Amino acid sequence: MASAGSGDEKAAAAAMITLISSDNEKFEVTEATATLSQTIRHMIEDGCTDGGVPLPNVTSKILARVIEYCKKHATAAAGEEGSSSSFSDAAFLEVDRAFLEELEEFDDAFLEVDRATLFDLILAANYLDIKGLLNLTCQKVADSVKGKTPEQIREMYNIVNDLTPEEEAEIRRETQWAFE
Amino acid sequence: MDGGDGCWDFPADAFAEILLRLPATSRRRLRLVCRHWRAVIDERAPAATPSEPKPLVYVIRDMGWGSATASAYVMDDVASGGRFREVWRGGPDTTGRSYDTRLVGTCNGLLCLCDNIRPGGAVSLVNPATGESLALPPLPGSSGRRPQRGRRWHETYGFVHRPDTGRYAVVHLPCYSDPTGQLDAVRVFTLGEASWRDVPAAGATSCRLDAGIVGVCGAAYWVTKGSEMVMAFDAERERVAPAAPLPVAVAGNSSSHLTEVRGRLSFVVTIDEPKLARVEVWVLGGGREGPRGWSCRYRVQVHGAPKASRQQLARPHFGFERGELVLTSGRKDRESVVFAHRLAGAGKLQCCEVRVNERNQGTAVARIKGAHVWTFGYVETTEPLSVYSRPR
Repeated sequence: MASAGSGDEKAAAAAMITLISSDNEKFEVTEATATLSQTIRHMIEDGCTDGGVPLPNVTSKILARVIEYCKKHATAAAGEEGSSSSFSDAAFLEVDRAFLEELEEFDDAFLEVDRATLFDLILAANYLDIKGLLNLTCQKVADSVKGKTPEQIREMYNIVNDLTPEEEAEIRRETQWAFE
Repeated sequence: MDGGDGCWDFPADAFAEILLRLPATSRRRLRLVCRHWRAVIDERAPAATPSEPKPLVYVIRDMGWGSATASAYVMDDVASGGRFREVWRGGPDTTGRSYDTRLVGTCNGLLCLCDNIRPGGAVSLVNPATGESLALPPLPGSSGRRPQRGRRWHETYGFVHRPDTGRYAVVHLPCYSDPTGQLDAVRVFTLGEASWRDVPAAGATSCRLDAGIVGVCGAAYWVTKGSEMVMAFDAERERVAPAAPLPVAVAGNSSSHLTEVRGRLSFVVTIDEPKLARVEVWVLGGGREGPRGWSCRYRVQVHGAPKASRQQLARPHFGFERGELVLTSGRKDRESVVFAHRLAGAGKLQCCEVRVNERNQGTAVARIKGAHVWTFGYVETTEPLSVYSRPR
């Protein structure tokens, strides 16, 4: 499949897409970068990207971060494909590991953001349907919640407990026999 | 929820993405956060429904000369009459000293045992499914102490599971030889911590140890010395406070104890008459409530004389299968027998009547020679204990 599609891929990689943030800022990205988003991929397939893709749910600040993520991961994906034909298996594994490590470092650094930005990234990843980014950001929030008591979570996120004492007691009863 | 910085303000599908990355047990706990969380978890990331605990029978066999052995059996296939499977066994070590290890309580698949021979009672936890065990540090300052007259160390402990964190705690009520049973603090050991801690009781309280210390939904409950009040140690808030006054007065010809039925604290009171024992089970909260938040959910009449050979509700836990299976225990021909009674519609709100007599004893599900039996709830789990052996 690598040989059959290589000509088209090159052409596709050169094609540029314009993304327009909610505050009307324009971002030029390659199609390879943009299609990490399933939402945009479908728009490209449907041929409705002429004149740019408006993203009314995503601010320029968040879109810039999302594009940064997509660029890195699109490069990684392309690099992986290219390497598979030109290296022996052992060397390929070596390169693969280096790639993964670099990508992991990138992801860790990428997540060094304040909570509001992290939440906005989740919303953007969800809206744009970028699986890797959604997984990365949701896992970060899930980890922050995992060991916490409900009370600690309410404090962390300013959530008001609107359960009646009876409802709370009922939930506790249902949690009585709980296990992994 | 407002939309301020870093506030939890996700559309349900993005929220579900986060929840699905948590283990099912965490999700079940997080239903406690607020109504919105409960709704999203139930609709988009449901946690598995909790298992129905099976009856676990703890048996002490007297071997004579102060020696004994202990076993724990779990009752499988309750619907088709019940089959027992030994899950744990204990006995004296080779030093030949006497053996008196009792089961304090169970939470999920963990057994909390107390070795009454050791000063203060040596508490350990066991998971029979994995074979793991964990010895708790000895109770500080307990050497030279004795429990109240006629009582043993295991009766001063309770075992609690915290629904908010999924963690376990062992509670000790330090009522020692002082006949008033007064106590001004509760001692707690939370799994994962290094040592026992004292939680002061606001104003001195007391404990009637024979009524039991029962763990229900993150709290340990006991009855005050004069049977006036049920007290609670809330393991989440680390607070000792009155839970409720008792539903009925405890008269001279009656005995009473605490238990748990379907996740609710319950009070069992038995009035002994010459040829008959009348048992009432009062459940706290939920349903049509009678006096002071309690409702009477079972009335059991046991006919027979003398009193000593009468069947009685199995202790400490008698109700299983959503309350539709009631266990009683009795002695017959030097055997301890556990009887099962099926009640149709016991899940409903009305009070169930159970009559036990010579012709209608229930179904004998276990006969054990020369033994004493206690019944508990059990859900087999593979949760590890080794993670707690190195305190954080």
